[in-house]
Amino acid sequence: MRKGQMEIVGLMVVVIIIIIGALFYLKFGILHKEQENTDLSIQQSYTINWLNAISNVNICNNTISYKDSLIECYNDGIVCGENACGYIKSESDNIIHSIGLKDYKNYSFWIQKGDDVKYLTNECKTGVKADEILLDTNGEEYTINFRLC
Amino acid sequence: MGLLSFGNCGMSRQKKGQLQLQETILAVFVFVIIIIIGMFVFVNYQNNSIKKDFDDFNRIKTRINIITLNDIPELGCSKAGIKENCVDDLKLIAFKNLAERRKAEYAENLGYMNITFYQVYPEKNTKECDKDNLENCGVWNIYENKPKTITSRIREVTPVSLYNVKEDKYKIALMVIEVYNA
Repeated sequence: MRKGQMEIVGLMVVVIIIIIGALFYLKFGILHKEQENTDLSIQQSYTINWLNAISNVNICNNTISYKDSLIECYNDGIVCGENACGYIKSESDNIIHSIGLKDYKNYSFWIQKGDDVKYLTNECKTGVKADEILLDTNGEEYTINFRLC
Repeated sequence: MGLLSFGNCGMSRQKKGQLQLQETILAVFVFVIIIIIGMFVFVNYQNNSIKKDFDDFNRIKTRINIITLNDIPELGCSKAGIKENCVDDLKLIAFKNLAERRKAEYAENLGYMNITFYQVYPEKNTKECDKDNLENCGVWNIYENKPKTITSRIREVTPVSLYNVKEDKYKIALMVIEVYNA
């Protein structure tokens, strides 16, 4: 083989290696990111369902709804003969333990009225969040927020 | 190329021609081998790609089901005529019977999968619910369609609010969806 031919073969090898490298980048660099984005919908759905399920139940031997007890907590009230926030915190821990938080380790749970925020648990700065608006008997608006991380 | 320096010009041309022919045959042979290897790699890649697409399709189907199943009319609950975001536990048994009666129709819509609800709050109950046992139970296996051979399985879990119309009480259940690849 002549020197010129050898050089062309060498050049082709380099080009082929570059093309293979580019294909690997496309496969693992771009397609992988797309997979991550699609997972978010299931996480969001999980968080919304979790908040909806927990806020519908009644606590304290079925005498008060979880939603009403959260409002009591915000207003430093009493639920089941105990401090509302303390009672809700222990009840939430029971519920979370019974459900099991699928792939998550921590959660934040807080109630707010306007700009005033009251945290029951604050373990997550970022993560997947869901919220729900509650109205008390006077028509005042509260928002319960739940974040998983 | 050194062959050209031999005395007999005709012979050397013939030998040169033979060499060029051999070179061409070798080049064509190598080219064909490369094409065959390329086709083999391409077919393999396509096969894997189709398998991956099918797995992705099943995964997306599972996700769509986990998001939408608790909202379908066969399962969704309503209170005083207003639709709520919960599952009616009496409808679960009705759905199970319906899915058994119209197996072909549901198999076409849902495919190979299992849908099970496990009550977890206020108390766990491992007894399975059916039309003869509606009260003291906590597991509703409402749809089951497994292929004869299972190559892979996708499992998704989400909490749902379970409403009991008779007691007017909400409970929490886990909805487990398992999709099978045959």
